[in-house]
This record gives sequence, structure tokens and C-alpha cells, in this order.
Amino acid sequence: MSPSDELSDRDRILIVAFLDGEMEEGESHEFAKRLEREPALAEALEAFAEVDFAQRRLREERDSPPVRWRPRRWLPLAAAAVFLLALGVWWRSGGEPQGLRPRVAIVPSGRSLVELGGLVGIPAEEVPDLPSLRGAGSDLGSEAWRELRDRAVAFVQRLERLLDERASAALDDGRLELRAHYFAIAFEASRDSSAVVVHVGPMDLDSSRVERAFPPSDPIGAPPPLDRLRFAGGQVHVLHGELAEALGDGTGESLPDWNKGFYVPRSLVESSSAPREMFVLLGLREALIDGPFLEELDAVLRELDATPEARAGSPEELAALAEARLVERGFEVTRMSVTEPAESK
Amino acid sequence: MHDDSHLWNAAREGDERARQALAELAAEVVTAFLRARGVYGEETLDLVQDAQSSLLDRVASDPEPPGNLRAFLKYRGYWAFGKYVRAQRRKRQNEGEERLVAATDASPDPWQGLHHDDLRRALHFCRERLGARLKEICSLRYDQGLSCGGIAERLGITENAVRLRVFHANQQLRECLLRRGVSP
Repeated sequence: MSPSDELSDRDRILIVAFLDGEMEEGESHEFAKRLEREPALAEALEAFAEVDFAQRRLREERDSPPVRWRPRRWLPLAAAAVFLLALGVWWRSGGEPQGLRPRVAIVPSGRSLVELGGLVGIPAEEVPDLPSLRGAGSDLGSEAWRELRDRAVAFVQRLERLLDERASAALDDGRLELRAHYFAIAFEASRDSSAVVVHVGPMDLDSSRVERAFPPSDPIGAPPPLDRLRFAGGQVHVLHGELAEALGDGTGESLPDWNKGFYVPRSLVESSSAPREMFVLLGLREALIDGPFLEELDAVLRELDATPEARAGSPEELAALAEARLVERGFEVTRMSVTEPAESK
Repeated sequence: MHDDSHLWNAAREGDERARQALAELAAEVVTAFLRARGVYGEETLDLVQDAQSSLLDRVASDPEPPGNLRAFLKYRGYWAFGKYVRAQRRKRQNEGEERLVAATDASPDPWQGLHHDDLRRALHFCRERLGARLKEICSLRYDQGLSCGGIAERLGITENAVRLRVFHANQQLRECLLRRGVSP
């Protein structure tokens, strides 16, 4: 026998009237006190309310448009207010990003822009030929360097737009639940400043999202999904070891294999005549467009270039110096170990 | 328990701090209740303020404090939610709509953890097995979103008769759902 069976018809009527908000104020006060004192009455009310509420909600869902997320009316206003507040804080700080500093990882590995462009269908001939500047005598901060950087940023923005378009399409199709990617830009700077190579790629994607964002049937991009995953996973590995591990397990490949999937110009590192390599990954795509941040990184690299210890040190020592400088400036830095050299490619 | 009684009595005797504390407690409990049912924003604020003021009015003339103040306030939350449902129904009628706004899909409801499709199927199955009169009541109340008064007018019976039928219909639905392993 349920508690409802013990109720009088009057109490049943009162329960419905109470839950419908149709009870007079004083009566509802007394009824609430009764509910607090009479467990059987309270249990019957709650049992009724569960079914009542479930039916109302199902009706509402049935009648609602099939959207995954329904913003409330005040949300756009709140979002605008938060944006303006953030803009104000940023403006007052002199335009320098405070608090949310780009994450920096120093890694001895990288990939060519042609490969990265291929991931989003950018023809090789349209990819800026940055390595051709190697040996051109360009100095960090020089006109050549600035031109290089501008071209790199333009490329990044194009890459970002293409990936955004694909992410939007994936969102529309329900293949991607959350737009959670951002981009990295890697500066490869030689110790003698003769070369700067920029690498970019999507970051911070977990494996399932990557798979859904870049399905095998996706017509954009020639490389198979595994290569894309390898690329994304490898980049993520730079900053997020656990995630890369998960990706590695998911494809049956171990982490060393992943690392071998990278182009590691070890020969350049080991060659006494070649410039040493230093790769710096910058997280947060806002940083890519943010001029002051690039200038700041530029300054760090210039300082390092003028440091005798950096000139005399090993790549690891150079990376440690860079890390220290960046930490001093408030960046979050992830230091990576030197990977094993890849098979010659 | 003792503190609840003390707070109630102090508020009844006009202790401003006690009245303030009671109002804050009411706001906390009722707000949590309403949010759990998907009511947010200005609507919550209005309902909570209403609950606070009516509570303080009643306290002034009620010498008998509830044994469990929080439980009492939770039931005031049920009542506030009922007022919200009623207001939404009126708003819908004013706008010429038939949609019944009860909650959003973000609400942590009593059916949490149950796949909606399962619930929908089970409810459909159980409603099909109700008697004709109770099935009709469910259709008018939940599918068409009519109030008990509106249903009474439509069927030519009293409002209390409608409430009784609604209660019996939901009781039978609940028992049917439980038998099918859909546990509220």
C-alpha cells in the first residue's frame, strides 16, 4: 500500500491544488506545516510531484525546437558585459595580457608548414616558404624577421579560419560537441639568428573530438585521419602528456612511435656548422594575433641571442635559459625532454 | 531543531536579525528548489521574494514553529514552483500559445540518470493503459496544458473532481512506471 492510498480525497485535492499554486496564501502556509509534520502526506505529495513534473517536462521537450543548447535571454547581454569588462581590464593594464598568460613549451621537435597546410587543404605553393629564409642573414627583429612573422601570422589566421569553418560544420552536424581547439605557433630560432621557422597546429583536442572533427570521410586535407591525429596528438603531447598517451593507446602506437612521427632535425642540432634549434610553442590563439605578445617573445629570443652562455651551451641549456626568461616574464612554461632522433626523413 | 524554533519565535517577536536570518534561509532553500526545476533569473527572484514576504507575514501571527524549518521551507518551494507553473500557463494563454513551460532540460530532476527516451516510452505505455477518463485528464493537463479550472469547464465537472482524477491518474502512472522498472 502506498502512502497515497491512505490519504483522504480532500488531501489528494489539496496536494494537486498546492502543487498547481492554486491554494490561498494562508492555506498553503498551513499545508506546508502539515507536510512537514505528516510524512505520509509529504511522501504522497513528492510521489505525485515526480510524475507531474516528468510529464510537464516531456511535453516541454517535445514542443521545443531540437537545439542542443537554448541560451537564456540575458546571456548575450551578460556575455557582452563580461567581454567589455575584460576589455577594460586589459586596456587599463596597458594592453598586455595579464593573468591569462600564453602557455609556452620549449620542445626540440617540429613539423614543416607544408605538412601542416596540407592538413587543412592549403596547397603547398600557397604556404609561406619560411625555411628559404634560412641563412639569409635575417636577424630577430629585423625587417626580414618581421616580414617572416607577418607572413606566418597571416598563415596562422588562414589556417585558423579553415579549421574554424570545419569545426563549425562539425558542430552543425553534431560531430563535434564543443569547440575546444586553439592553435599553437612554434618559432624555431637558430642560435645565430639565421633562421626562424614557424610551425602551427591545432592543440588541446581530446582524441574523440579530433576524430569527430576530422572524420575519415572529411574531404578536406589529403593526409589520412591517423596522420592528423598523430600531428594533433604529438602537439598535444608537448603540453599534455596524458592526452597524448591516450591517443597513443587508442591507435595502438606507443609514445616513442609518436615522437618518431615528428620531424626532428637532429642532424642540424648535432652538426657543428648548423644552427642549433629551439622551438617555442605558444598556446592560446589570441596570442597569435596579439602583437605585444609576439614582441615580447621576440625580445626574449633577442636577449638569449646576446647571451654568451646561450651561445656556448647545448640545446638543452639554451632551452633552459629560454624557459627561465619566459618564466620571469610570467609565462607558463612546459619544458620537454629532448626526443630521440627520428629516422631520417 | 531548537535553533529553528528559536529563530521562528524570535522573528515572531519582531527581532529584526531573526527575521533577516529567516528570510535568508527561506531564500536559500526556495532558490535551490526552484533551480533544481529549471527556474532561473528574474523569475526566481520574484518567487523567492514572494516566498520571503509571505513567510514573514505568516510568522508574525503563527506561534507554532515547524519542527523542521528547512523541510517546511522546501514545501514552500513546492508551492512557489506551483505558482511559477500557473504564471507560465497564464502567460502562454495571454500570448495565444499552448506551450507549457515547466522546466529546462538542464534541470536535475527526479528522473535524473534515466534516459529520456526510456521515460517517454514508459510513460506512453502506461498512459495508454489508463482508463478513458484518466487518459483524457492527462491529455488535457499535460498535452494541452490546461489548468484544472480549464479542464473542469471543458468537461463540465468541478475543479476538485478534476484534481482527484489528476491525482489518481498520476498515482496509477507511477505504479505502472515502477512495475516497468522506471524508478522515480
